Amino acid sequence: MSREDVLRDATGAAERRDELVRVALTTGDELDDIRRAKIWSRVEDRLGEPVHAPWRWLLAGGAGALALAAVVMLIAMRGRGAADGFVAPPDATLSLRLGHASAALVGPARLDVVETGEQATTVALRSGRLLAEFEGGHGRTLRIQAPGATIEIVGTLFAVDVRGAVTCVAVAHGRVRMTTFARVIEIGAGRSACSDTPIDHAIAEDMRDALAHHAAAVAVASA
Amino acid sequence: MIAALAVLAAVRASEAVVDDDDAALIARHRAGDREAFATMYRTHAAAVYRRLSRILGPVPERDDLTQDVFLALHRALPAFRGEARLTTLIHRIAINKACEHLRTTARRPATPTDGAFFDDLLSLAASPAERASWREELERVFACLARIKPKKRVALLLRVVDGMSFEEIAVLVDATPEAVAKRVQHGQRELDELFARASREARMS
Repeated sequence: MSREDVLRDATGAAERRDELVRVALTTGDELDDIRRAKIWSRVEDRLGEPVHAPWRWLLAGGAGALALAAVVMLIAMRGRGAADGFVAPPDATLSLRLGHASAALVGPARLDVVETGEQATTVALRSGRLLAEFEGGHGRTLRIQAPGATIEIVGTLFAVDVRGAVTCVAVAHGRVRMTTFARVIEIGAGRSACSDTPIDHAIAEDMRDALAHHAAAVAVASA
Repeated sequence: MIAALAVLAAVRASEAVVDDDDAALIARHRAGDREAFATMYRTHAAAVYRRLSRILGPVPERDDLTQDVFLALHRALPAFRGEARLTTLIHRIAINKACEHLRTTARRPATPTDGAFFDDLLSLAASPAERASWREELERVFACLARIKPKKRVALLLRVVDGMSFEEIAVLVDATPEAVAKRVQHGQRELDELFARASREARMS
């Protein structure tokens, strides 16, 4: 039942008022991983020294199927002047919430958070693979900086792969705009493109499977 | 770097029994184990943020206030005698921080100024007229809540939003259940009056 249905069904002024209050105050009350990490960084700074170096988190990553029910480890890296970041070691998958995107960082991989805000979230994928489903909405953007490319997403299911100096993007649903040094390319559903080649092509089988697994995992996690 | 393994179900289960481990965590923290406080943060940060949100609304200061709660917890732990559960201590601190914030911001309503909040709230299936109408009502809610004094507001919201009993609220706000019941009753009456007046004014304009 949607929130509007609940409000419509509320009979009596008091019940409706109480429901309005509940709706107003429970929306947006979730703390995502990026925000949680940023707040912790500031707590550490204020306490005067890191509580533990390197910082260790336990986050569980999973897909609906048994296969993904294993293990994640997050190490928040804070280098000199670096933004908050996440590192997924080899053979590990890190489940993240990046603003309005449910994401999985498939190790070995490194992701830095550049900027977060109500309208736009910007991250930098330094290496590895990022799977994400972005809920989008009016005015919202997820921006991914990667070697040789900047990728902007509005409401879609997609993957970004960084291998050395080449970035490839595959889109399962929606559309993604990838800007490289040479051109801007729009990548539609079922297509893939890389920063070093001029045209897009159909998504490879293994990438299609990976995106489907990620979507299933997000669906289970949010059920 | 130490590799640690966990599965999603185990992490969620561990959150359910965290209160039993809190005494051990506090003891480790006092013994100088730096990881213990980090574990407290990791375990309780989301709940603190949620507590602040459900009292204050979507104010931008929630991040800073969450930080302040944990800094205050860090200061309070050396003297904490275990007279309440760690969760209770943390939520008491969060409520105090929320009340301080309400006092300093006085009658400024926590109305979101950008559309993203209302996009989250209202489904795309609602018509533009419905969305506009609900948005007006929600803005009215925030404006009315801003006029209620902090103690009454906190008691009212813990009751209406979180469904807590008077006894549960009393533990968090350090008052008797009878005092809490009065605050809730007065808060509801005040909110009714403010809401009715605001609705009348909206119809007349």
